Amino acid sequence: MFLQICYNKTMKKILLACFSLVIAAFPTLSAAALSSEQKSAISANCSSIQQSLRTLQRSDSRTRVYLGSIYQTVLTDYITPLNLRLVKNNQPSATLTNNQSEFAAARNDFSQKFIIYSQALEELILIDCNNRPEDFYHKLTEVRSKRSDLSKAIAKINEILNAHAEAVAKLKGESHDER
Amino acid sequence: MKDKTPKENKNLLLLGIGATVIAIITTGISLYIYHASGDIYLDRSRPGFLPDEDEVEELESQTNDYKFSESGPIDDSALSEYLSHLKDYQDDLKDLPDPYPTYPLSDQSLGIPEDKTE
Repeated sequence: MFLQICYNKTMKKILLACFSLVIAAFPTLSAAALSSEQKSAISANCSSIQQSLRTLQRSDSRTRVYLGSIYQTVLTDYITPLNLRLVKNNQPSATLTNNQSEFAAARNDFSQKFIIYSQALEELILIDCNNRPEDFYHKLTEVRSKRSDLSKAIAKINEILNAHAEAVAKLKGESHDER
Repeated sequence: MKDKTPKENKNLLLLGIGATVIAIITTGISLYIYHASGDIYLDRSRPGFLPDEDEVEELESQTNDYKFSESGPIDDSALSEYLSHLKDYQDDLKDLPDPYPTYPLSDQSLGIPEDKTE
């Protein structure tokens, strides 16, 4: 019984030590993908890289405002009033109502993805790339992925908007035929 | 005029300290929420992110006051007008086919050499 307890405690300590070593080694292992030339380049160009990222950060913010204002205007001044008008004329359209919901959801998704991307970009800029090039590059990879997600969110919004325009054009054709 | 007693002075001091502490705590909570919610990344009024003068002028010149009315008939002319104005925004979005391209974060753009050990 005593030996069993000791064995279990010893095993637990050994397992914990092994686990800790693995966890500690993991960043090193993943960062091992960066060559010495790349590390040197990141360290040497750290200030210019950070300046480029800050410029990109401001540019991305301007783009977001521009896109956000377009999406907001389209939703509040076009899609929503059209659906209300259709309801008032006893001609509600399930397609256009779905468009409105999808557009609003996609726009919110874009805002959320922009926040996530911006947070990651800001964290990237704050990393000391002069002394921590591996961590910097690891974070850069993450930011690239989030930027790609943002791009996909915008593509989806544009797709929904085009589908909405097609649906309205079809409705226009139907109302013309009814005459 | 009656001078304040030491107790009254002490109460006044405690009131001032208490008010300051409450103000610091509520300000700290507000700033935390501002950061945690992500609103800071949507706020262009912070230093370094204010729009340039030419950008403001450009935005003002592009302002379109048209709004589709919620009331009125659903006929050919109303829908034609709707589509015509909507197309302006679709064209604006087409002018930006990829607003967030991959290039600015690429190794080439940031001056990071390719890994030649592969």
